[in-house]
Amino acid sequence: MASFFERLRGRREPSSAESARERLKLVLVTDRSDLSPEKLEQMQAEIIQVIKNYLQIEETQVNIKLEHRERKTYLVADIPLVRDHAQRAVAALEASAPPANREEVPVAGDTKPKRPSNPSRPRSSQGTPDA
Amino acid sequence: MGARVITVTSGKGGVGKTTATANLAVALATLNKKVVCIDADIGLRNLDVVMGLENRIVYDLVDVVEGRCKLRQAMVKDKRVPDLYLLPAAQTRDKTAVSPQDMVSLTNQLREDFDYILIDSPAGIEWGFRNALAPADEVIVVTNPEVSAVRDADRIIGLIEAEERKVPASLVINRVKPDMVRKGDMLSVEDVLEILSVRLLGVIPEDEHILISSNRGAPLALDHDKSAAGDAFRNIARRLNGEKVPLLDLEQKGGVLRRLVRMFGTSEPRS
Repeated sequence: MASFFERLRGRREPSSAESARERLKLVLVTDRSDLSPEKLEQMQAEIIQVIKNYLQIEETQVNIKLEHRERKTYLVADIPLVRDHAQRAVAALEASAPPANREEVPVAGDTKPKRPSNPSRPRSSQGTPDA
Repeated sequence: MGARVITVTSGKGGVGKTTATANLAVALATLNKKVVCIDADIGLRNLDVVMGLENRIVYDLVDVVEGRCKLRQAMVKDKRVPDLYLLPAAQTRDKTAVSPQDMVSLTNQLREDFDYILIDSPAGIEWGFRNALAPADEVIVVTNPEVSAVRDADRIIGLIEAEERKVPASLVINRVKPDMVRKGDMLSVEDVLEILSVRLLGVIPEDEHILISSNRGAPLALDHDKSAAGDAFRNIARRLNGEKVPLLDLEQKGGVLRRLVRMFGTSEPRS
């Protein structure tokens, strides 16, 4: 129960089980995708370069990562646009139907990607900051 | 059709595959099922000593495959329960002496006469694992609540899922210490399930009776109500058999104490 008192005093070191959980999640990202953290970073840099050809983005806030849900791996990208640009981009998107509204792409041998069918779990991956 | 072929595997060594195979075999046999277990760990056989049948081996799996004896001649009967047999691995041979196709035809010969065929897989992800997986109708992945074991279990589950033949996998978490989980010093059943996203078949508490029983060559599941681990194995056998058996108290994820601990903060809130 040490952590209870530590928390009362406003500081808390993660328990060893929490460390185990976090370390496992990280190492499994690499294991499952066969993509090292360096490669992932390199990919992120390249993706940013490509998008910059088309959109003005908040480069420093880009977050691209691999995520696991229910034994499927997703490449999840949060790519905020620069504000003015975002409004114009949304207007343009709305003009051209239907909007592609997710940027998640299952990877790693998913021959038949099944999209998570639950729309009530939105991910801020519209590529637009909340206006 | 007949028997269900269930392969017990883990990736990592030393997590309790052989103990689990022996105990599930005994527990299923005490439920009056006809059971044969096959040790697929050629060159490093151990199921025989854990079951206490090592002195009665005449022929082995490789002798059968290479035609030196009939399948039935190599099967050692366990006299303590009604219908349990062991097909031992060869100790002096190389794992390449048996092929996946051999395993398939061997189990096909046994299917008619048994209810369960349990295959004790060797550790690792290579030849021996492939042999053990080839004839499986289902796979039980054994793991421990520990980083290395969970990581290897994830790898094994990935390999099983990558098979063209869809083989359902379920998980047995072995050597759980509820006290350590409570203190936040051991991954909980929930943690492991969250990471592996696989169906839970059962949880075995850490229990010194396991060592005592393997010292004696008498699987725990033989003795009723003697030990927590023995009870847990018997429960898993009943679940395999289609019964709905709740997790033991000590296995339960939502115990009062656990909930209190969570409320006061050893576990972080889930997103």
